[in-house]
Amino acid sequence: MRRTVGGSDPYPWPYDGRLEGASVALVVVGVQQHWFDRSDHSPRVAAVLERVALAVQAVGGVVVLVQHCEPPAPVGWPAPAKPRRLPERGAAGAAAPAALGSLVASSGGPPPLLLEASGLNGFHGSRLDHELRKAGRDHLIVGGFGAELTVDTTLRGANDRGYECLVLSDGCAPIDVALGARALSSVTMSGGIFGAVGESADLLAALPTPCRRPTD
Amino acid sequence: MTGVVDADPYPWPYDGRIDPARTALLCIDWQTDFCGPGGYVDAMGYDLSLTRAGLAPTAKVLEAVRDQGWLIVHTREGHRPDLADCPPNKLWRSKRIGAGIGDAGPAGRILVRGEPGWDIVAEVAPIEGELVIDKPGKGSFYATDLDLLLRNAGITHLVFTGITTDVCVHTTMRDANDRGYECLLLSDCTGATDYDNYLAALKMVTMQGGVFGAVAPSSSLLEAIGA
Repeated sequence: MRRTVGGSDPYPWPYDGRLEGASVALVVVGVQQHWFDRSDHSPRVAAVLERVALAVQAVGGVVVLVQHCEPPAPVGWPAPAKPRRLPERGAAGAAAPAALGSLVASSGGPPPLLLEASGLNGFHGSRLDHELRKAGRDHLIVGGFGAELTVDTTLRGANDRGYECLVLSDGCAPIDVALGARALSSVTMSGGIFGAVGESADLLAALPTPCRRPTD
Repeated sequence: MTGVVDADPYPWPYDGRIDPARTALLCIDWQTDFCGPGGYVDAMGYDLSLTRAGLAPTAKVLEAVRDQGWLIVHTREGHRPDLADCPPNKLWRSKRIGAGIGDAGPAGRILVRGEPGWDIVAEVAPIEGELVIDKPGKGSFYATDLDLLLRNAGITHLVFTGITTDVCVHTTMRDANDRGYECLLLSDCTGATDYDNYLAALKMVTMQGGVFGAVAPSSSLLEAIGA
């Protein structure tokens, strides 16, 4: 039976109709104070992502959280040192804020996996690809904080690797609302160049019936 | 000649003056499939003038940096003739909108290596000795030897031209930035299938003090290198 998300743009996601617990992962990027503080939309988005995380876990999906730290400066580079644009490992801002405590502790299933990437692309210098392949997850539901930077960059990395991606429009907290909207527009060009864009309510309605409810 | 590009949001490069020995020009996907009649973008019904807009300024930059001995790298997106390197979802999406990868079109099989549509257009074609990278995806680092070639050549700084701004150029620039390269995007040497997405892509580079590097018109680069 084909199962797809209603209203996803520009096509009913996923392309193969295999919206199943065993194939999906929710990937939340920018799970850090640094990104949370850069968008007025973060609290609303956090609530959406908490809800989706529980629902995904309830049907057997996995949840992966990604943090982005400054990549190490290449050795031998001329001075002055390259400007730092991401939080350093262990620095203030690199960790998840208290406001995302419920997301980090989502308990609809196995605990979320927390990974650190070296840069804005969640796949760069991280175990993300390895962990997703190991768990057999090739359908990704993507959202997070710092949308046009963290989400958009990681989405590109996922798409080139063949992952089938749905970006949650209400699960992304943009730094600049207009640019966040443009980033979503780019996703939908050329028949869905990086995947599809959908809303969390439509995703939740499309997920298979859980074997048990998240609150059980 | 100043060696420093008047760029947004900071004078580029951050570490002083352009060193031709450490700087490469990256020309992304100037293929018929993306900016020529009968190619993939044309088959999808987009306005080719948007993706062709950067051709003339790019040709001028190419000529100038060739004279100055820069490393020049061209990329091409395309798949093996049997499409073994094309993810099934990418293939499905292209067929759904009537521009199927591997399907026959006026410029040969769409996005397939060796076909006329896959060739780089004459205006900015590579010359003998320039590097050409074949890539199966949007980013130029994934599943290619680009990073190895740049490191071996001692390149630390990248100047970007190409298409499309919000897709292959941005994906490559973002990944270059994660790898530590210092990047400059030439605003008039790039274009997208949607003009507002092009403008947004330029602006995103400059967020947070230049999160992906800097943006400048090609005239500023030419002035900086005395061309």
